[in-house]
Amino acid sequence: MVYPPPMPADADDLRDRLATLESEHRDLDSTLARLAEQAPFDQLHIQRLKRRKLLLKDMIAQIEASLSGAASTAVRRDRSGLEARLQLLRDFAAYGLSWTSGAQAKISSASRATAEAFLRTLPDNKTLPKLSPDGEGGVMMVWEGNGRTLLVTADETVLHAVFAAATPDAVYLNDIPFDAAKTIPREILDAIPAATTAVPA
Amino acid sequence: MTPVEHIPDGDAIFRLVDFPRMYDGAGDLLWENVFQFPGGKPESVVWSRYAPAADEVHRIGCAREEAVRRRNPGMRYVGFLPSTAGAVRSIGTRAGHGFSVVHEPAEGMYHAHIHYRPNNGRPANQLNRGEKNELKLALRQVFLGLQPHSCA
Repeated sequence: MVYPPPMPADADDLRDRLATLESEHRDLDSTLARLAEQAPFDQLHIQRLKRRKLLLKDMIAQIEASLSGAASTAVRRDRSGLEARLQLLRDFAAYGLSWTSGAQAKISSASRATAEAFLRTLPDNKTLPKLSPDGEGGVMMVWEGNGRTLLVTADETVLHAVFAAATPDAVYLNDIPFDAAKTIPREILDAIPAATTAVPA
Repeated sequence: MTPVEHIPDGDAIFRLVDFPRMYDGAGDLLWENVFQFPGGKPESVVWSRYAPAADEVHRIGCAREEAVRRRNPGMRYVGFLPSTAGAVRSIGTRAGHGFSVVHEPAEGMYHAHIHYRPNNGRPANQLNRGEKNELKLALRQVFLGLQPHSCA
């Protein structure tokens, strides 16, 4: 598990971090261009680099938003975060993701489509979730924070939601169809945290 | 036949964690669903009675990595998550479901399984997807952070 380093707090640190990320982003561009000219392609390697590039783009946009406080940048951040997550869903469907070697944990194409529609429907002012295959063909979408966890599972063409998951106050909403109207139920939408407001430097 | 022993609540258990290289760099977007219970099957942990030291746990993880990488070169062991049998057994969701932890010596003396323990003795296959995934989330929460390791 490789995690991005924690975000530095002050503006100088943010600018340094931004420069580092932009440099890595340019390097990745060059590497991908070079790999594209070589045969045979190592598709897994290329996909990993592309995903890293999307993540970098997301992190760069977040820092730019923090430095400028511009709402338009915050929206751009959400868009690149969305693209990175859609790519993850495609990879979950094609290759699976398990944290143990014995399992593959692919998601079904219907669950992928439902999760993708959910993410695309989510308004820009809402936080995007963390994602995982649930191990049974579905997609777990998780929002954590303030001790309250919202868990929404895309299971074929339906959603299952657990509000305040894993607490004594948990509330369950099961078998919500999401194949026709593709409208996120109000209860779920209200429980999703708002995207962090950009803080001026 | 090797006798099955009771695992006391205070005993540590360790979850070995593998991670495929292709997802490096995506960590911030992933929720670590370390316990997936594929098809409702139990999940494996290492019981500290037979592997008390971190080095021993890592050795088990690396042996598994070596075996697995012959067919999946991108997979590698990255460390383990510690908890106790009691912490896992104490989980109880609002729906009333939890887990049991049992010794499974047929798969190695250190081997233990975590099983779903639905309320009122319901069969595990009657849990709905939301209930099961809430259990996975609750289970991840009682395990501490990754004790990292890289197999040389």
